[in-house]
Amino acid sequence: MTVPDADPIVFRDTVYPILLRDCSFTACHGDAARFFTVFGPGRARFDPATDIDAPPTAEELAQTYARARSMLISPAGIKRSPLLRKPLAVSAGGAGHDGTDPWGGAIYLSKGDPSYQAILSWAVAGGAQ
Amino acid sequence: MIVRNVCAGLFTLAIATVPAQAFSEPDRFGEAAIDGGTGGRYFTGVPGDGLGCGVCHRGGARPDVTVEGLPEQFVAGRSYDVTLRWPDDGRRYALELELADGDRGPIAVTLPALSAQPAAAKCAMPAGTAAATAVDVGGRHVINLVDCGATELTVTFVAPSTDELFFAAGVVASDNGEDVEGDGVRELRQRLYRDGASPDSAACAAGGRDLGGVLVIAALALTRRRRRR
Repeated sequence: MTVPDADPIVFRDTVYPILLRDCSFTACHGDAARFFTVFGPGRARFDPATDIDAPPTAEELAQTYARARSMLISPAGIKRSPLLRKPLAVSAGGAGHDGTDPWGGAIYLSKGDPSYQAILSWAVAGGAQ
Repeated sequence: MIVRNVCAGLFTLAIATVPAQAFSEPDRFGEAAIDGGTGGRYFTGVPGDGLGCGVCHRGGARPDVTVEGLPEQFVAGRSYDVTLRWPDDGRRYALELELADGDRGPIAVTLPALSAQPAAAKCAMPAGTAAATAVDVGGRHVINLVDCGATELTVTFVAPSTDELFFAAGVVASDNGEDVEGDGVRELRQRLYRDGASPDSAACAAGGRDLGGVLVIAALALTRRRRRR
């Protein structure tokens, strides 16, 4: 398997802000101990010395892009990859995720969620699957 | 565990902590995440935006927060005053609060006029100023209380006609540090049922999920000033 060639510019402009908003909490994917990490302004910084409000650094974008892209690897194809299935509600075809809220809500309740659609579009464009 | 009829009168809520980031100024919540804001997340823990402040703040002792005035069962159209209180223990308390109806739609929440609020509900510094504000954004009605020394908050809501409603609030007790570490968090989440509506029928109306009266105690919060490293 190869790592999908997902567009880094689209990632920076469209996908990264979504991941930053929805995933990068310190108890979640803002924790450096996790494999899939998202660092950036207002949240945990890749370099703790970075001002919390400073724009995302090149290092943060590269790190998040690399981890997100690797989360697209799946023997069943990109649409079945962890990045696209874990945040999605099981009822919508997702894989389940510790990040569900206490009411049982997934990060994205359906594939129609605009944020999910943005991630999906970026992912499949890079993988031709 | 399903707990019913637990919210009549005054009760003290237990605890459960989790981690997070503090956004002190209410305006920060409306800013895009890429600019360091929350992108519209308020971390109240209400269904639909169910994450609480505990996703970032962590490490401190969970604060004792009492909630008074939540009905055991609500009557559609009736107005309820709910008061939250927390100790004056040297920590800086902030909170976000929100209610939703059985369709996960927003319920309007109002604050008393400042002149009608007791001193404990106002800022200690600057003394007598408003600690809580109502934020109406994106169809949501969020109450934001900044960490200026208040030790109680009273809100008013009118019960909806749906079979259930959701009360959610997140309280953060900051250790006065510059980051999210060392902050205590308590997340208050309560599903209430309309008088005459059984949890089962409400669950059916809501799509089959039955959390029936579950009292989920976790955490959330916001500090007046963003905690910075």
